[in-house]
Amino acid sequence: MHADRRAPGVSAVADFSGRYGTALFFITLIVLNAFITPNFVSLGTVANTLVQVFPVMLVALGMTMVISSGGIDISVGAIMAVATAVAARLYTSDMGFIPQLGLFPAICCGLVAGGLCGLFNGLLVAKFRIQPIIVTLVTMIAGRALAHIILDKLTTSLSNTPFGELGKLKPGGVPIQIVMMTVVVAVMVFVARKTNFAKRVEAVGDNPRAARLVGINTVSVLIGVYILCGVLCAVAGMMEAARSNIVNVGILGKLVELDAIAAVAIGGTAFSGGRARIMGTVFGAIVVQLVTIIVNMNNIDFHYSLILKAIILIIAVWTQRKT
Amino acid sequence: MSAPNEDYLLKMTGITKSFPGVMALDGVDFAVKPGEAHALMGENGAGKSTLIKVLTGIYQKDRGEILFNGEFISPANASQAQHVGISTLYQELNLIPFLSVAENISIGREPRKATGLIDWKAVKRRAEDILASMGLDAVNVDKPFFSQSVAVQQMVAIARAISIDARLIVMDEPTSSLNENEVKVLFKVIEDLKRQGISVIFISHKLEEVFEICDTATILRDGRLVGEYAMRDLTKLKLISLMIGRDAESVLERKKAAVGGLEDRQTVLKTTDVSRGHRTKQISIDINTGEILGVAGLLGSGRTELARIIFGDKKIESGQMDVRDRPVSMKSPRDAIRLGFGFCSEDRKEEGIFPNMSVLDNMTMATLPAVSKTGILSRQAQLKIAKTYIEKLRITTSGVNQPIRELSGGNQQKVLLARWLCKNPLLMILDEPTRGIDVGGKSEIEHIIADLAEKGVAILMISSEMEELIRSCDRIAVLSEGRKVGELSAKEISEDRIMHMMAHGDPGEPVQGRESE
Repeated sequence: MHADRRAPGVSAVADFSGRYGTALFFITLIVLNAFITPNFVSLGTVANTLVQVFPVMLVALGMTMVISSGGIDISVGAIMAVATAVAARLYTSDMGFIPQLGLFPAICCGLVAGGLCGLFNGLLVAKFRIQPIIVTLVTMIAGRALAHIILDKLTTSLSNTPFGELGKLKPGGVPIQIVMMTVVVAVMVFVARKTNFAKRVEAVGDNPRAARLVGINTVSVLIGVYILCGVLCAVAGMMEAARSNIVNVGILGKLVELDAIAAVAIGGTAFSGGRARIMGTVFGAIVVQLVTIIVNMNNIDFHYSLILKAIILIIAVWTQRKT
Repeated sequence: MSAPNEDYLLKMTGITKSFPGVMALDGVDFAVKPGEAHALMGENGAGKSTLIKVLTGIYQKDRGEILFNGEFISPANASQAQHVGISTLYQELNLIPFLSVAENISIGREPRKATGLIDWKAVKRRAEDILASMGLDAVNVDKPFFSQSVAVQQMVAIARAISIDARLIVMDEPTSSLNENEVKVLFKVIEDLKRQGISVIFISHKLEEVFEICDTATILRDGRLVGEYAMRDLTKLKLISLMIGRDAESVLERKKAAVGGLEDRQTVLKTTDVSRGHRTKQISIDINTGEILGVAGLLGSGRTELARIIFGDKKIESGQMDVRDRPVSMKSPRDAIRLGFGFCSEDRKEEGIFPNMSVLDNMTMATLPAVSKTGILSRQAQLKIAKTYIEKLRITTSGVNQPIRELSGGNQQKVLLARWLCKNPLLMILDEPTRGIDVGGKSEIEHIIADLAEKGVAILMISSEMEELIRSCDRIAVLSEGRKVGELSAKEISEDRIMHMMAHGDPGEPVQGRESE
């Protein structure tokens, strides 16, 4: 009804860009890339794009649920680092009180570490009612420091280890990242559309007071959301380390929050809370990745991509405002 | 409608306005003569506010004509409407709180001195003159606007409208937060306006007021014009039945014959000396199956706190609660819901609806664990509930997927009631269930509540509308300053007694009160 106050032309443009903006932008980027980026239109590049989008995609999916609940998580990059540091440290060295672990237990510990970070965020947000942006800012800063402390050095190599190999697996010729991503997206689509949990998250995001009064345990819903996000960050972090053969706690997951938040914004999940648009986020993440690729493969300074993404984020949130 | 245009100050013809999925106004005619108070009546969702918004430029009409003061107008926004002489006195007054009363009256058109500076003395004088002409000489015009009572704020808004030469003033629920004396002053002002040839469009849920002050009523229903009537040709019952389009009989009071009629009546809830802070002090009440217990009391008497304690939203500090003769302790609303309680807050917008979620989701949110035990949503079960209750409670919506915020207040409330009805509640706690809802919607909701009681649901109903309590309740507990000061049985219930109790703590001398049978 707010649209009524605008001139018809403006509202039509806003309507159109709101509804089809993501798709339009997506196509534009692909066409643009096809022309200016060398070798863009090849199966290899497509696969490569999908492999590269993996960490952003997983983090953005977790972020979608957090934003749906009316919150935000800017500690995602730090959680990637913490979880990966835990897994890598346990995997590569004998810590005395904990023996050196095999691949599977180490990864499990990484997942738990990610979940614990999420639990910490969730508890502070839900139980202590501190604003999510403050809570996760704290986790972002302290988390990255914790990752350094846990790993005890800036980098650890995973070359020629089963951990490193994990990132290069190609079951049936398809990169493992693509396989995992497909599964995670499918699960998240199911969760968002078909479960009580997602409905409750949406309800808490839409009106937390009313949610309590219909008997929703808002505390456990919020904690659940942040844990889910933390675990997805852990997966993203460990797989990213495995792919690049190295754990660098200084840069692992750095600035992923910008990409993830931009992906969610482009995907149309409302920042004021409400329905989680998983497929929107999937497209949003790919859009963000295409921007990165344009910049990288055309030898433009990396910093321009950050400015470009910041602008995209603003535009995405601005077009959202009318809905 | 064949009268020459000169007779009318405002003539709206064939106004049509639609929103996605809803025809809000369908060819409505509406005409106001100079110097009359014209009531615009209709249920919630009848199209009153849409019509006013079209008139004042907030919405643009799809079709139709507006002839005002002999000219066709098509205001694009509120300030254009104001410019031609149409002022609006909304419930939320859109004046500037931190400026003084005098500044608010003159804002934007302050008298200037020869130097071009604002002539503050003239500003003050103008404000005092106007307010004095309205019989409000006691107001200190230098005090900030927000520090004034709502009544004075409204007078200031009217004063401002007069000072900008408004020909037509729209008053949407102007009396909702005024006390009796303030209403009298407002009505005196309206009479003055009428004498000066200024017309008033008056919208109110309170029928007495409409009969007292208005000359003519235009009635809308479902976005269509029902007709225009002279007030002297209408009776209350006639007016209500025109508004809701049903026979007058169905608006009549609930029969309380059921009281004492049920043999298997049992106590659902019993509170003993329940206390919390200074708002709730040792309150003991009990509610039986099939009974409507009213809670009367002024704002701040502790009635809402009591409801929240019973629903587990606020913790009990001392005292005991028994549900079906068993002591219970509740830590959160979830515990109360498990016991079979349902709760409708007095603040639908802040605590009731999930504004952006669908009618279906809003209706089934409390029953999710029951219809989908595995944690997987059962769309089919949800649809069944939604369809059943949309039909049963006659909820006007374009479909189960319509966001609830697009519904009228009355329909939103029905959805919120359905949220609990579909769970077969043991006890419903209703805090101001008909607040902000139109006469027609009110009566429908009162009927729903009465039906519930008939089915054996125990109901705790809080209302600041005495008539509503008297119509609906089997017993009324009266609260004052956090204490229960007394209880009236069906036979004893009368407005005088309740008022007396709220004021003095006892029902007063046995008066020949009106018996409810």
